[in-house]
Amino acid sequence: MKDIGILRVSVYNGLRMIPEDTGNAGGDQETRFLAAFDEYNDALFRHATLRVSDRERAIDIVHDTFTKVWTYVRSGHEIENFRPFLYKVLNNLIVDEYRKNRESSLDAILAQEGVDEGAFAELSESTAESLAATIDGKQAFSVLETLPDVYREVIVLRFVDGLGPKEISELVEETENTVSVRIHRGLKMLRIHIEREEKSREETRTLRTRHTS
Amino acid sequence: MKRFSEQLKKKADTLRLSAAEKHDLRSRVVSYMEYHPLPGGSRAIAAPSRFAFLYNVQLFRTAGALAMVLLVSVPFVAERAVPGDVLYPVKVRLNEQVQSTLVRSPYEKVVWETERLERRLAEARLLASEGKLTPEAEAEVAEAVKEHSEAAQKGIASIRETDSDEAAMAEIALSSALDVQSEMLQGHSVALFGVVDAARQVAIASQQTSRPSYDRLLAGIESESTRASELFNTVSGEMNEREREDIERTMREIRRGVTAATGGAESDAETAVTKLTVELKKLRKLSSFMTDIDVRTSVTLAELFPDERSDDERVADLETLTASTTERVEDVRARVVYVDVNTRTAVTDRLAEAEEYMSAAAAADDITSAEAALGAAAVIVDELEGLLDAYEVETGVSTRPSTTTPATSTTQGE
Repeated sequence: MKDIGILRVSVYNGLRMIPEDTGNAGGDQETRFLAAFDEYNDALFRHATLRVSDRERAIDIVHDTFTKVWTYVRSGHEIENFRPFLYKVLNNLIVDEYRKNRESSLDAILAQEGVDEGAFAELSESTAESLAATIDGKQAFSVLETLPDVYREVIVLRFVDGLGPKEISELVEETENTVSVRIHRGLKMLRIHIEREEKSREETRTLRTRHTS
Repeated sequence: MKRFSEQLKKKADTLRLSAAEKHDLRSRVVSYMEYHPLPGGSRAIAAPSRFAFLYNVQLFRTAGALAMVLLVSVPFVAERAVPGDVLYPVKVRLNEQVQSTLVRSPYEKVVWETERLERRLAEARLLASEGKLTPEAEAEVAEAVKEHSEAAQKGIASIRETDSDEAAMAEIALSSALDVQSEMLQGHSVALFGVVDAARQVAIASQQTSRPSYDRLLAGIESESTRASELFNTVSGEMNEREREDIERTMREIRRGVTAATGGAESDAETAVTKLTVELKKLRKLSSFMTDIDVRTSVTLAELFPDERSDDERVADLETLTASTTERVEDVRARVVYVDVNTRTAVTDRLAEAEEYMSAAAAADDITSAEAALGAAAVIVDELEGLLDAYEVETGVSTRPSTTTPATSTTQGE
């Protein structure tokens, strides 16, 4: 995947083009931070919305993400690459959100995962690819909400945010294997959901035909 | 997978912050940053880059508007600059050069160069009045004056190639302007007076060689005197009584001079042209006296119009004036019979005063004091005539019943 280094991004601050450098001047930090805001707010919002399924809540989470990162900058840390950092903070906030609301279900899912972890077929990128090829992306989007968050998280990171398995593993603090398994299972679940929906739709259709005839 | 990913992403891309949400979110973040600034310095938050293009349009608009304002106002403001001011080069190098290119006809060019010369001298006077006329500034002005008078002379020379009449008229305009300027500089700035006087000598010399035609001169006088009386109507309000009288008198004298010149034109055209040239120059000087407050405050009309008549001519004029004033006094005395007692007393008192002046004039040893006394008498008679006219208008009582119409009506206009 293409890595857009923040260091090479020129920030248009409304007055003139300022080639970004790693200078430590305060104004520079602010400029870089705001540039990161402008670059990533949409992507973060999208990610948050898909995860929490609540537009207002998603905006708040994005807001909190940026204020947290700003606090980090204020404390004297220099962030070289904002993107992973922002995702990390955003992800933590979303997980917190789940912990607050659905702690039990999350634990249950994690327990279930433990049993199956390590299944060989599920660890390969190529099998995930072939599995994904059987799923309609548009339909997947509509059933994404039904997925438990641990799966939704990796699916969104992988297919919407376009992160690689290694990045995702760093982000969610799991091994690459676990990430691959979750992606695989998530896709399977999506397919099952889609199929189930199609079946129910078909049933209503046949019911309706029966009624009319 | 690619297809799946693309489809999913395409759907997900529909999830976007609206512009309002985004703006709102950004404001929240920015204000958080402002309340929690970086340690070691309070810095203003940079303009929002997401909307940078918007601000930028605004910026361009503002810059454009500013540029327009500057383009329009700087030259305008610069018009009042004097040497040493920041905007002075704008005035001289931009405004005046632009104006120079707008001048089309060679005659206009001469007029414009003359005006530039006058402007330089006016600036010098302004500096001098503030005590800021340094020798350097004076030298600069002198150089500019020389330049403009040479440019004017060059313009006249080029007119002469096609129209010698026009050239002669331009020469008159230039030399009368120089007359006024040199009169104003006399006793103030030796250096500037020298330059202006040199230019004036050149103008006088070339005037000897080229003379306008009689008709052309008369036309010039016609338009110039029309202009002078219009000017007088406009500015008389801001003048004091004395100035007004002086100007009226001067205009009368010029008119008389023109009449005399045209009267002798048939027998001696040459002399008539010379005389008319003198009168035209007087008219032009009078116009600049009326238009330019600068001129008005620096010189008096008497300085501007030195008496060039011979003693004999002056005596002749004096006799004419004595005769006409005597007639007018008699007329007033005849009219005063018809007015009420109070007015009659006032008029009679003043009339006695006028007669005193007249006898003083008659008894005077020298022409100048006789002229002054007679002038004073004439002023009083002017005043009394006005008073009686006003009385007629106010009361409706005629001071000239037809039976006693005085025979002096022909001299009323004088």
